[in-house]
Amino acid sequence: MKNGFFSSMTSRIFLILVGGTIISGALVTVLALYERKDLTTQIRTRHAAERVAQTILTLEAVPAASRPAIAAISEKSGTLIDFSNTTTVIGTQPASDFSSSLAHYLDSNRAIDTAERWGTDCPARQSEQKNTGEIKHCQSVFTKLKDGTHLRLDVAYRDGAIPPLRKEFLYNILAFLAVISVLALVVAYIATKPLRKLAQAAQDFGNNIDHPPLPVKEGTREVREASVAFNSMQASIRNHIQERTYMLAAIAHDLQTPLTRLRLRLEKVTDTDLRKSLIGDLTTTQTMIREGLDFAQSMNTDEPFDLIDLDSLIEAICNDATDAGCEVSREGTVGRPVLANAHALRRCITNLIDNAIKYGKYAHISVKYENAKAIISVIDGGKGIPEDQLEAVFQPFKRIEHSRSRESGGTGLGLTIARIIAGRHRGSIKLKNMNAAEIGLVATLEIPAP
Amino acid sequence: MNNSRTSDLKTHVLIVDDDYDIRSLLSEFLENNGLVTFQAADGEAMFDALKSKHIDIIVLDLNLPGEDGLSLCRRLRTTSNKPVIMLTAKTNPIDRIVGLETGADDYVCKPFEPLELLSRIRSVLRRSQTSSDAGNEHNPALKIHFSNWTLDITARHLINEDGIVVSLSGAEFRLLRIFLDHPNRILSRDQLMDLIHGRDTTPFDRSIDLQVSRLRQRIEGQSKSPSIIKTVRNEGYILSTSVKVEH
Repeated sequence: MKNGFFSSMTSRIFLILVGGTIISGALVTVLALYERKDLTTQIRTRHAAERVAQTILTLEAVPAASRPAIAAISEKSGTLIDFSNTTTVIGTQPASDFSSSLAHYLDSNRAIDTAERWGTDCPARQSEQKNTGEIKHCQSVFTKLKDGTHLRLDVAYRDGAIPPLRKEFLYNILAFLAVISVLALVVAYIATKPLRKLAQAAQDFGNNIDHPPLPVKEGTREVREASVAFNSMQASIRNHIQERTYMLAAIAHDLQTPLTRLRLRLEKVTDTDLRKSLIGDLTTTQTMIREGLDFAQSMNTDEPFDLIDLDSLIEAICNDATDAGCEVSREGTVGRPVLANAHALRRCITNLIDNAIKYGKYAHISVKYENAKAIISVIDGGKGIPEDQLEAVFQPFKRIEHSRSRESGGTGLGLTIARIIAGRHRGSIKLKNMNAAEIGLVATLEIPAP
Repeated sequence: MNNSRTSDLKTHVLIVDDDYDIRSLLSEFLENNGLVTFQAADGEAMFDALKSKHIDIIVLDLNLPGEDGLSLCRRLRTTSNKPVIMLTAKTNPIDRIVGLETGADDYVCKPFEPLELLSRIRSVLRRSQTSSDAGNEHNPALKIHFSNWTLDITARHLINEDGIVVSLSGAEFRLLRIFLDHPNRILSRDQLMDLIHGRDTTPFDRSIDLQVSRLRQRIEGQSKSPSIIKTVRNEGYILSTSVKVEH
């Protein structure tokens, strides 16, 4: 369920919209069908009343001798006429739709009684039932013509029915559903788009602390408010990091004076061996401070980006390492410029190479261009590091004891700095053990170079 | 001021630093290496010493109480061309730019190797003596244009005609800088070694020829007949192109 169809907000909105539309559509249809049934009943009732009224008026207009002939004709259309029945009122009947319709068609001063009949006491029902199905309504009308003839009319008519499902209706429903689905998808997509943008912005911010803030003048009010909140969060995190960076820089900076004094005092130490080892300790301390400053500097992000020739940068770094007496080899080229800060990227690649030389005796740098990325692999000749430590070494001040001794100096910030710089270039650094003779660890730096 | 001996042969150094220990320790170290030193704790003391003493070079701390090193250097430049080595605790390139604009001749980052400072003092003095005719010594270059290239002095890299940054190794940068400072002049291997040494203590043990060939490869591509840095048989190398300096 966690990663299923229902976990996505888009699909949930989609389902709620489609489901809701189907349920409300079905309700409306059922209500409409019943309404239609009632209406049909009403129309039939009025139609029957009209028929009865017309028959009465016709009977009145013709001579008494013609009446049986007319009665025979009306019988065929389902209205039974009985001249012999003189029964008048069976009981007081409440005014019904039928009786009021009948009164509407006839003049008001005519004495007329109507009675709705239930059960089998309905002469008209018998004849009607021959042709069609169930008959619901049966009305008996008692009246007196103007010449005094008593008259009983029996009329029957069907109740309105719910029509059966037709094929066309099914097609219409399917077409309707298709339209609704498309609409629901669009709505779901539009509704979740700001959320996805926010998630992307959070992701970008994670990768690059200086990612430009979200636009606060776009989208709906809620989206704008969320953007403003997100931007202020980004600003406060950045301030927090900057404060930390300033503090680190200030500490490193203030240490320079006592260290300078110490270094000058060491010139007075006459014991050459002691002096040598003291200077060694001081150099280690200085290296740590420099790394701390570099770390602080790597957080500083106002350095400009230029198009740089990555191949020349790598060659320059390798030449520097060779000049410093390190064993470095190099193969491959990128063959195109990348957008980067030359100073920061140099620090990043230098750190990887320094690490390789420090822990793996030599560094072999393999460069290639693949999938719009510049890929720089630094291979060393060490023993590698435990698999479960491959990520941990990127944490500040993290070093693996035993295999990588503190004797080798440094603060363990090298890889942290390298990764921060790679992140600022939208790139990544990964470590991998080669587990082969003479090949230990491979550090792979990837930088987008479109 | 603790040393009143005056010797015309010895270099006279004025140390300006607010930290008493650094001042006296540095003074002691330099005196042990045959230099004459004077000390000043702030800007006023520095200008007083300049009036009353013969000073060859000033070692000036960047962070001074009151008027700081940058401002003092700027003020000094209005009246004097005396060489200045700035002591700075910061290492980022921004400070280098500001320092260059105020006219310091070189920088040493604290904490420094005493021997490195000594070698820089000597190197700066040598430069100021040999190129006193150059005139522009205290208005150092920010960018140097030559052939199709621009050398960015502060960022220490090249920019090609398409505006793409091409990086240089430390040695390549220093060598190119020397060639650009002496355009159209034959430089022997010994001269090149001499000019490079002292400027920086980074090991430069590879032969000059290797560094020249690397530099050529960088600025002339794979061309078989170098046109920018030419070899003068039995004499050395010559940078044979016009150089335009941007201050």
